[in-house]
Amino acid sequence: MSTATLDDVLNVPFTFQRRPSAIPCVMRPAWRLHILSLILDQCRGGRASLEQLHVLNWAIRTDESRQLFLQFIKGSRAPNQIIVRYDPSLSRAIDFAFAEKLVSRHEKQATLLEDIQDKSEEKKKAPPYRVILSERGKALVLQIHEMEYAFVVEKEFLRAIGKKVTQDQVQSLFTWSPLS
Amino acid sequence: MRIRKLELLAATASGNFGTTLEFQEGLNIISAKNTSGKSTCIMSILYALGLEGMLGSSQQVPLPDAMCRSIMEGEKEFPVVESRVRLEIENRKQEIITVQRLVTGKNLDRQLVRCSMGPALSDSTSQYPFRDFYVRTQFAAQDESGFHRFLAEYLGYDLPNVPAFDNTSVPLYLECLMPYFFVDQLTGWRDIKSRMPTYLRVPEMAKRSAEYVLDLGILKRAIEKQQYELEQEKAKQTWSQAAVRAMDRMGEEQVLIRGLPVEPTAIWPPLPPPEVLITDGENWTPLATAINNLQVRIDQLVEEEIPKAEEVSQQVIEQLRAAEEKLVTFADRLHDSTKDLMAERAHLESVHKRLRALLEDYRQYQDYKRIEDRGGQIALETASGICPYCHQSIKDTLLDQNVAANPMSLEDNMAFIRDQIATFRDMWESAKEVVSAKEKQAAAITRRIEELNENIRALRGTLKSDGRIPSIAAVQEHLHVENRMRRLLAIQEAALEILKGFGELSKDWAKIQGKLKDLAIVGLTEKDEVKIRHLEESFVEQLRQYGFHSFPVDQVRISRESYRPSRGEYDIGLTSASDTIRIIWAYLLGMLELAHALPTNHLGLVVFDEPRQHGADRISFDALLHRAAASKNFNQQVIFATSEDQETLERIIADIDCMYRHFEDRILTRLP
Repeated sequence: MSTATLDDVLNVPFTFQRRPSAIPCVMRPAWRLHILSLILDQCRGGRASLEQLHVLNWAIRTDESRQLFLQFIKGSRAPNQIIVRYDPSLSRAIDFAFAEKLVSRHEKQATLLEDIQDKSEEKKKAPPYRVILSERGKALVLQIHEMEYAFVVEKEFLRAIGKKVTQDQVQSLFTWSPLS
Repeated sequence: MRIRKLELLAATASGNFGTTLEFQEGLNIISAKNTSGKSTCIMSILYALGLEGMLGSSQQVPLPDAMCRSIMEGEKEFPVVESRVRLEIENRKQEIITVQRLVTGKNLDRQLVRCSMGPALSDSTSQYPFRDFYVRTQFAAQDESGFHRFLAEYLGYDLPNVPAFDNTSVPLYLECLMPYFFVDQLTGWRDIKSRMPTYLRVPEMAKRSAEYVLDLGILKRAIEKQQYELEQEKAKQTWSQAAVRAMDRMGEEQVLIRGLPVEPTAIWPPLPPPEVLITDGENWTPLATAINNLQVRIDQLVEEEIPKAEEVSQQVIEQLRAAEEKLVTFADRLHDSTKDLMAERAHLESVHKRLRALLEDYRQYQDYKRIEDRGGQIALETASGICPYCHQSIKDTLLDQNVAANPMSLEDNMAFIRDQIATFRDMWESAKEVVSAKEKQAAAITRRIEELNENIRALRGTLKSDGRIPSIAAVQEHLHVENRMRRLLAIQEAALEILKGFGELSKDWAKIQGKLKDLAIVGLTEKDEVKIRHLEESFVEQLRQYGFHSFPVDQVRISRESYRPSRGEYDIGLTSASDTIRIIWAYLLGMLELAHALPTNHLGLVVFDEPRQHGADRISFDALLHRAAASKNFNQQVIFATSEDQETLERIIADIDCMYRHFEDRILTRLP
C-alpha cells in the first residue's frame, strides 16, 4: 500500500450529514412534564420544594434508585449510603411546566443553600420556593391515571412512597446527616 | 329439541291467573292482539331455559308487568304475589324434562331452575325426580350445578372452547347459539348482524356459532390448531429447561456440550452434531479422545508391574521434582485464570447494566408513545415541538438548545433502542458463555492442582518408606487412573442419555410442526362447502318466493367468510324493513331446512315473535308460513306468534297443516 494511493483516496470531496441523535426518553420534554406532574401530585397538597423535586426526580429514574429510596424512607438504609444526583435538566423541565400552565410557583426564588442554613428558625415554616400543581396539571394527572398501561412502574413507585416524604427526610438526604 | 308445553302462572291475592300452551311438530301459530301477552309467551320459553342472556347482560326479567307486578282483568288490577313459568321439552332421544323458573322474587331466587326428569306438565299426577340448577351466574355454563351444562348435554351438545385472545380459550355459550333459533320481537328483526350477545366476549362469535350450529369442520380445525400452538409453547419450554439441566449437569464435571441447540429443532442430530468436550485446565478435548488416551495409559500400566520403592527411588526423585515444578506452573495458571474470570464477570455485569438501562429507556419510550397516540384533552405545546414561552419551534430535548444535536423522532429512537437491545442481548449471551467456559477452566485447573498435590504426597511417601514395599506413587497412579476412567465413562453415559433425550424431544417437535403445517390453512372443508351451498340455494329460493325486492336476488350469496348473507363481495347491507324480515326468516329457515338434509348441530326448532310493522311496506307472511309448514315432514318445529288480523290469518293458513291457537282477548286469564 503506497501513500500515493491513500492520498488519492482521501483527495475526493467529502460531505458530512448530521444525523439526528438518539436521546434518552428522560430528556424528552413532554415525557418529563408528565412525570413531573405525577410527582407533584404525590406531594402533600400538590406542592413541593425544589429539593423535594430533585430527590423524587432522581429517585423515580431507575430500578436501583427506586429501590434505594424506598429502603431509605422505610428506615432500612442510612442517608449517607445514598447519593442523590442533581439533574440540571429539571430546572428547564419546571420552566416548561410553568409555561404550559401545569404548575404555578411562589415568586421568591431561594437557593438550596439558604434553605439549609435557615433550617433552625424556619423549620416550621414552609420552604420559600415552591412548585405547585395547577388545575391543568391535575387534569393531566387524571388523564395519566386513566391510561391503565402507561407509567405503570412510576405509578407503583409513587403509590409505595405514599405521602410519606417529609421535608426533613429530603434535607437529610442532601446533607447526609442522620434523621433526628 | 321439541317444545311440548308451556305454562305461565301468576298468583294474586284473589286467585291464580295463567295459561297453558301445547305445541306440536311442524308449524305452530299463536294468534293474539299485540298487548294480549303473546310476546310474554314467547319470551317465557327463552326465560324458562335461562337463555335470556342472549338478549343482553342485564339481570332484569324480560317479561312484562303482567307476570312481574300486576295483572289486569277487565278494568281491575291485581298485584302479583308470585309467578313462574314451566316448560316441557323433549330431546332427540325422546327424553322429556320439565323446567321451572320463578319470575318474581330476588335475583337469587330467579337464578334457580328446577328441572323435573319427566313430563310434569302433561302428567301432573306422577312425581318425577328433580334437580335444582343455576342460571345467569358466572360459571353456570361449565359448573356441575349450572343448568346450561346440563342442558347442553341433554341436547346432545359438546360445546367447544373456542380460541380467544392471547392463546387462551373461552367456552362457546349456549346464548351464542340461540340467535339462530330464536327471534324476539323487539331486537331480533333489526338486522342479521347485531343479534349476538357480544358482551360475552367470544371473539368472532357470530362466525363460531354458525360454524358450530352447521357443524363445519373448519371450527374443529381452528380449535385443533390452537391446541397444537399451546403444545408448541410447552415443547419450547420443555426443551429449554432440558438444555439448562444438561448444561448444569455437565458443568459439574468440567464438561461442555458444544453445539446443543437452545431452541427446538426438528432435525436430530443437528448439523454440526453436538460435541462433548472436557477440559484438564489447559485444553478442551473431545471426551471420546480423552477416554482413548486414558485407556492407552491404563494398558501401559497394566503391562508394567508395580515396582518396589527401592527400585524406583531415583525415578521418584525426578518425578517429584517434575511434579513440584508443574504445581508452580498450575498455581500461576490458576491465578491468571481467576483474574481473567473476574475481568470477564465484570464485563458481563457492565453489559447487563447497559441492557437494563436500555430496557428501562425503551419502557419509558413506550409510555411516551402511548401518550402521543392517545392525544387527549391536555395538549402540550412542548409535545408538538414548540416552545411554550416564545412559541418558536424547538428541538425535542431538555438539553441546551444550542449545543444539542437534533434528536431523532419517536419511532426512530425506539427503533434505535431496539437495535441496541438486540446487540447487547447478543453480547450478553456470548459474555455469559465466555464466563461459563472460564469458570470450567478454573475449576479444572483447581482439580489438577489437587491431583498434583496428591501425587506429590504419594511420591514423598514413597521416598520416605521402606524400600521393600511397593512404590506408593505407582499404586496411587494406578488408582487415580482407574478412578478417572470410571468417571469419564460415567460422564459419557450421562451425555449419551442426555442426547438421546433430546432426540426424543426433537421427534415430538417435528410432529407438532407437521401438524401445524397441515392446519396452517384453516379453511372450509369440502363437506363444509356442500353445506354452505345448500344453505345458499335454499336462502336464495326463499327470497324469490317471498318477493325480495331491494335488489336482484341473483346477486345474493352466502359469504364463505362470515356465513352471512352477502351481496356479491360485501355484506348485504341495509335493506327495507320488510326485506330485512324476509332475509332473517329465509336465513333461519334455510338453516332449519339444511338440518334435515345434512348433519348439523341444529336444534330442529325456530321460534319467531312477529315483528312490529308500520306503514305501507308491510310484509305478508303467506309465503313464509307455507314454507315453514314443511318442517312437519322432518320432525322439526317452527313456532310463530302473530297479531295479524284474524280473518287474514285464517285465510292464509286454510290450506296449511299447522297447530293454530287464537286468543280473542288476554292470554293470561283467571284459572278455575
